[in-house]
Amino acid sequence: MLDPSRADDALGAGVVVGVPAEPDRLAAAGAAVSLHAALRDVYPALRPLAVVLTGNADGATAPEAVPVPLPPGGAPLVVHTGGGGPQADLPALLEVALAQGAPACALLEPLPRAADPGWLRLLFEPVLSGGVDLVAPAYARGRLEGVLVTGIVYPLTRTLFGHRLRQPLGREIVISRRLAEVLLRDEEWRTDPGHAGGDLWVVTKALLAESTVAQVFLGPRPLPQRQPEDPPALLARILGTIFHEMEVHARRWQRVKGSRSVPTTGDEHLPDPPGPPPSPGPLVAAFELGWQDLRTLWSAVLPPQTLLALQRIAREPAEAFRVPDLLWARVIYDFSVAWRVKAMERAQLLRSLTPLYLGWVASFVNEVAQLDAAATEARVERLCEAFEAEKPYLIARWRWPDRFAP
Amino acid sequence: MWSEVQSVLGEAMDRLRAVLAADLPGLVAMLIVIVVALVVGLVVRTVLRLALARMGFDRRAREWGMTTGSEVRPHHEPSWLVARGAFWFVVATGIAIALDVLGTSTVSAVGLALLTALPHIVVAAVVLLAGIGIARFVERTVLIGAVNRQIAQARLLAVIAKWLVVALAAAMSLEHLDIGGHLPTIAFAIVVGAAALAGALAVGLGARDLVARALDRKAPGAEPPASEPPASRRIQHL
Repeated sequence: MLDPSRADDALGAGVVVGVPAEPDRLAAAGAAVSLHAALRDVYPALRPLAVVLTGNADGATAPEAVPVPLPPGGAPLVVHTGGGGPQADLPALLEVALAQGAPACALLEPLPRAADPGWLRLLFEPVLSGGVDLVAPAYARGRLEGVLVTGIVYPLTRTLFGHRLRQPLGREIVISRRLAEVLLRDEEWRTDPGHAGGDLWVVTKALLAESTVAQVFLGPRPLPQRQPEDPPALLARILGTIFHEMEVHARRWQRVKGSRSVPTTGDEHLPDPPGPPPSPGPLVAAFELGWQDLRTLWSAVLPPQTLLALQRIAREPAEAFRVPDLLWARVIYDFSVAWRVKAMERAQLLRSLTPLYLGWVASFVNEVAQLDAAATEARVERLCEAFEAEKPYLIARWRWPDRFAP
Repeated sequence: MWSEVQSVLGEAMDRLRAVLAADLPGLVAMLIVIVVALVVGLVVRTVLRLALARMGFDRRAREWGMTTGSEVRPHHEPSWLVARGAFWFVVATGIAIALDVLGTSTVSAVGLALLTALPHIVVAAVVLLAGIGIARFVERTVLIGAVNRQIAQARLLAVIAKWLVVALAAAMSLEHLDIGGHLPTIAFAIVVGAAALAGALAVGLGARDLVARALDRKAPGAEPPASEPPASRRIQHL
């Protein structure tokens, strides 16, 4: 890996963009070519560079050997990441950017983008001239899109790290040179290679390094977000990642109080498609089945008063089904503590949360069905405030899990 | 008369002295072996307790579903049970050796038989205990998976899965102890075969249409079923 102190040796491209080649190398190559052209339009003086990042060594260049200036020709430059999967894309990009001495670099998905390259200016301007270290690109969404992010990821990460970053899980990211140097020096590339560079890792590092963070909403996503997994697998993956971050940075997040907004550009709301909202009936049925069969497992995770509250709401009809915010926050916190102390096998633990999560989704659907975008956001804000209000409970349980053992 | 009694008693005492002189070394050796076995057993128990505690054995047992954590009384944790088992294994081995050391043909034969059987009993117990642990893990996995797939009989499925694994472990243990010849294996095969047949019949007769619909949904280019809500009414989790 490149020594960050070599960053000043060569001054090449001013802005570097990396596009992951996997799973669709052809799309990545096309995206890199159009990004290169768009960046030249927006920043002609900065000598932009767009590269394809691949784990396949055939015809690829090593990150530190990227030529300056680029050889002529239409094909994009392909950079070999070392074959460590999608998580190897980021360190390879950082190495290219530092080798080039670029003040900003970005990891972007190969999506069909708007013809107007103004969106690139939105992404890079905060880093190039605004002193921001990390820009998190995000996409406008309907009320019932990304409910896992709305119900768990956003409130939890906001409470833990103190920044109101609405979509912290995106693979896309824009990074300043200063942050790139910090990230590349990080010990976790060596000590925890399976986790470093993954979802949330960069954002957590940036937030805990007191870096300046901004988010930019780029309008609707050009291609719908892939939903490849069923909810249990998705929950296990996403919550496993967040709980791992909680465990690694336990000392830091316990000192964080409250949360502050981050500079935001663009509108995050998308008008909902026409038609009635989904029925909460199947979601409530999933919750009830979980309550019937999994409550013995949950009793090893949740304290009696939480179980009692869940029992009470399990009796409600589907249309009136509500999960109180404080209860939901405590459930998530209790599961994080159970994950930490390994109250049961971790994948089983996270998958067993699914009926509770579906119950919360039913409650959310019921509550926002008649609300407009602004009122929905106010509702989400109340949920986040509940998570923040219950943080002392999390800290107490995290520090003394046995004292609070159910 | 008195002289005859004296002579009988004297002869008896002589015999007793002779027996004691002949068997006392064996008895002393037996006592020494038992005491040494007790001491070794205590040492093994303490070392095992410390080693298992350092390895986090109890936590792993709880993680794998062998205990729930809340119902375990003090000194009944898995590490304590393993340490106690090891202690009694060492003591039983010591007793078997002690019986052999005694030298009498009958007790020696008992000691030898005990010595031969002990390893088999231990292995069979380990197989059974491991089977029970795996069975609990499987039960929990099946239960969570079935609930997440909205299967109403999730608990029944989980219990069936658990007892299949327990039955397999029990059959393996019995076979290892050579109890019942091939009967446990045959009985297990019959039970599993019958369960599979019953399941196949149940699916074939009762859920044929459901399976056909499920297969249709998996086929490439398949249309979404009419019962599935349109995209606008679906919830996106990510």
